[in-house]
Amino acid sequence: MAVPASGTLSQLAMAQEALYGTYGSGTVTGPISLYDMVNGGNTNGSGNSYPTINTTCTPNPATRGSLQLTAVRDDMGSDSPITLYYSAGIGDASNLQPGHILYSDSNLTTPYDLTCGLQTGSSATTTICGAGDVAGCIDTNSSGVITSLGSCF
Amino acid sequence: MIVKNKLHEDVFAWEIEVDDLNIDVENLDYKLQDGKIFKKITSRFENHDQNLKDKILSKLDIDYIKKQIPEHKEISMHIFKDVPGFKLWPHLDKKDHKGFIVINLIDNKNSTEFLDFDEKFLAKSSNKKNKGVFHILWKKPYCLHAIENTSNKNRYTAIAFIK
Repeated sequence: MAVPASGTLSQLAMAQEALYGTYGSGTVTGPISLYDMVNGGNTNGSGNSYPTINTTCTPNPATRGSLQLTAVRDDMGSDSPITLYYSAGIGDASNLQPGHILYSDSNLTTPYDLTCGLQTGSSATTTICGAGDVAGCIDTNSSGVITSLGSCF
Repeated sequence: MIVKNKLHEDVFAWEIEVDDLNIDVENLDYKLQDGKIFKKITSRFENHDQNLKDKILSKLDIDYIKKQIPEHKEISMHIFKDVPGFKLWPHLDKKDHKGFIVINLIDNKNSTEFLDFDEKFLAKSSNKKNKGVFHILWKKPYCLHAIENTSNKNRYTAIAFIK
């Protein structure tokens, strides 16, 4: 089943669709948070925990904004510095972890494949490590997923 | 191989010198490096003559290297031609690289530079023919190293990667 393309929409029915794929039927416990329906989970207080939808469209809407990871140098640091981007929901660059995705564009549409990338630390929120440290090796796969973050040293 | 002065108190790098290798480096056959070490560099070319590489390797003081880097398992020799514009930004080598020896095969304009983690210059190795540098990696205090060719001529070096 699907949400109707026309006519009056029902938030309850959309919750039923999100939970069971049955628009218009099924038991739903209130409250129903639009945020939770869109992003999955029940962090906004929903009576049900909603599945993460649109899993092929990362990141989900609540985290669609991007933040910068500045002056990253690929190839053990030997390449010229570039700015990479990641989902704003992650917060400061120091929060980046394996599993997060790096992109070459601020719209988060083009994943970036890093091979032992290196970033010099600073006090800015756009660097993984603090001043006087260096982050490396940062490795991502062809989908931009961080497979190894190395360490600050 | 004669090991000379340490380049900087905070850099594990020493100037080295070898006997003249008597190699006509400008007339060797070079192929674009294969990307195993630097995947994107298109300005570094490599000669694959094993006899020449063995000849250079024989000039190294293996016992000294063993003493300084006892955990190393192999030394691979490479003969490089870096064309004008070649540049490796300040970087660290992968953890399996324990050290390296760079030997200038001609008088080059540029030589390996060593920088701290704020990328401030610390020291520079010799750019003279038959001289170079022995650098131990991953020994604190860590430092970055960088190289480029700002001249309008090719740069020729032999580099021993100690792993």
